[in-house]
Amino acid sequence: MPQAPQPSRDVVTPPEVYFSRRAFLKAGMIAASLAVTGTVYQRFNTIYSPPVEKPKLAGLVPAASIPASYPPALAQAFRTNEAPTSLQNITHYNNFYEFSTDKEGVAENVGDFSTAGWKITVDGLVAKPGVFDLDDIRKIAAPEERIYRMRCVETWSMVIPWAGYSFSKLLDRVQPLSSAKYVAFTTLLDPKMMPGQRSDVLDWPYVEGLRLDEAMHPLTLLATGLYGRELPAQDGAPVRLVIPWKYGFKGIKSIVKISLVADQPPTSWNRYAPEEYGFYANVNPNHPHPRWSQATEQRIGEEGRRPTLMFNGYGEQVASLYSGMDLDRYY
Amino acid sequence: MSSAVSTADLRPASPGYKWIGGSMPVARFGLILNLLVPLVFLVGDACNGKLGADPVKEAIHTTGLVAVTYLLLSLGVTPLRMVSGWGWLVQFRRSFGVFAFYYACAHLAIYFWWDRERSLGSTAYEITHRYYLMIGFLSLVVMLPLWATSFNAAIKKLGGRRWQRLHRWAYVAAALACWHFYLQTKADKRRPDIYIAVLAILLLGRLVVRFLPSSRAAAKAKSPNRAGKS
Repeated sequence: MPQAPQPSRDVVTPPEVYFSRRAFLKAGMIAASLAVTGTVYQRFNTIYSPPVEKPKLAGLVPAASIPASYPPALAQAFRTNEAPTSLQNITHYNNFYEFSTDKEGVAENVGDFSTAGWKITVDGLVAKPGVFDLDDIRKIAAPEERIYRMRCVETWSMVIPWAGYSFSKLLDRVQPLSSAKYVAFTTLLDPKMMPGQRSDVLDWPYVEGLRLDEAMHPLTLLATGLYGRELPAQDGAPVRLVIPWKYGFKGIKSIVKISLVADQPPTSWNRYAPEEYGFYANVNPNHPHPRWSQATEQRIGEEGRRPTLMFNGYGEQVASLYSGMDLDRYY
Repeated sequence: MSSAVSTADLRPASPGYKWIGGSMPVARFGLILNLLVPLVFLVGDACNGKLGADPVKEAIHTTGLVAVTYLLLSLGVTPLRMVSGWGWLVQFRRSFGVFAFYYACAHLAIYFWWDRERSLGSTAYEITHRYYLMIGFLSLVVMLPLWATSFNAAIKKLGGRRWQRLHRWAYVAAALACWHFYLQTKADKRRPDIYIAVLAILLLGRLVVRFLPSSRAAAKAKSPNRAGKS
């Protein structure tokens, strides 16, 4: 076997240089691996925050000038004096599975959503059924600013300056029959605009329901805006329900159908896990979720936790709706 | 080849120059730096207020996800070694496992410090009354003796076989962690489903190798038994 020519000593890289080069290479490879790991981490964790610019609502009645015609206890409940949660957090921390199951991912996924040509059908046990477009909805009453606490079943909470009017005003229009005992609500079903509906996390469309007396309560709000502007898609545009003494999931978003019915209607989360989410879903610190306590809550934007209040602090206004009911059974 | 100079003689005496082997090979050092990346980002994001609307939840979820990910990676090392025949991969297994334990500890510590607001009573109450928390806690308990025996002297003291038998509990810890992950997820179970599937594949693979003599022999032939060698 012929010997390969040996390189002369002076062209061989000296060992100090050779090994320092190798050390450099190793450091470089470590740095490259760190860059890859960092990118993977950020891919899973970066919170994208597109700004929210919605048109101002016309004719908004500010919270400070809520009509004196309301009883004082009610007027007080219409505007909590607690500090409102920032618009940024209200519009970038959403449970809206129609777009994403990631609360911070909903805002990123609303790009294809449009409310053009929106119609809301009101039917069932009513004297005057009808189909309302958004103009019809706006004409029913001027939007009032209602500053409500919002308590999510997941133990976080916000204070939100909604805009809208009592849902009872819409019911007055359609005149429920005496046989109507419940109101059933349905969200839009449109997987093209709502990408979350392409997966079967929940049975689409989302449905919710209230007892008629709950729906008639003046605190129950048909909301069309927040922070004095039209509702952003991620918060339930164009029209949603807000029931401040119940867990947030009762506040059905992007409503297309309202039916007055005789029997308790199915509701999405209750159907998904009946032991975890009841039909009533009143905020109740004494009735734990099977997997976590409901005694305290994380107010978004605050440090530390605060105790959760019975009926989310609206007991004075709504407790009478449930007198004599076992709230541990009807959770 | 008497004229050839052995590179080992010229190599500077620092163990840090070796990719593998030695007390702190470069590859493992690099891996440990990588394992710290989530912590660096988490602390950085926390200091800059970039953890989103609910920073405590975010920190709890991140540390938990990292812990269960590292657990699965630690269990993936041996199968990868068997398939590839790269015996040196074994040194990474311990780093993954040990750091899974550290992140799991951070996960519990953040829950105790910020979610339960430093109340031992409320932490203990929640863990004992919410079974998904209990399952997560058990995973940490199972990891504790594994972490405590994760250094060379412990292997010598226990003996290779006993040490190996003890460290098979890593599968139990990972199963509990995946179960905890699955239970805490509200409805979109895609991520925990993937973790459970990966764990099932790893476990099945190990069982196949163990109970199918032919594949076992093949695996042995590919990767020399390093038990006792640490």
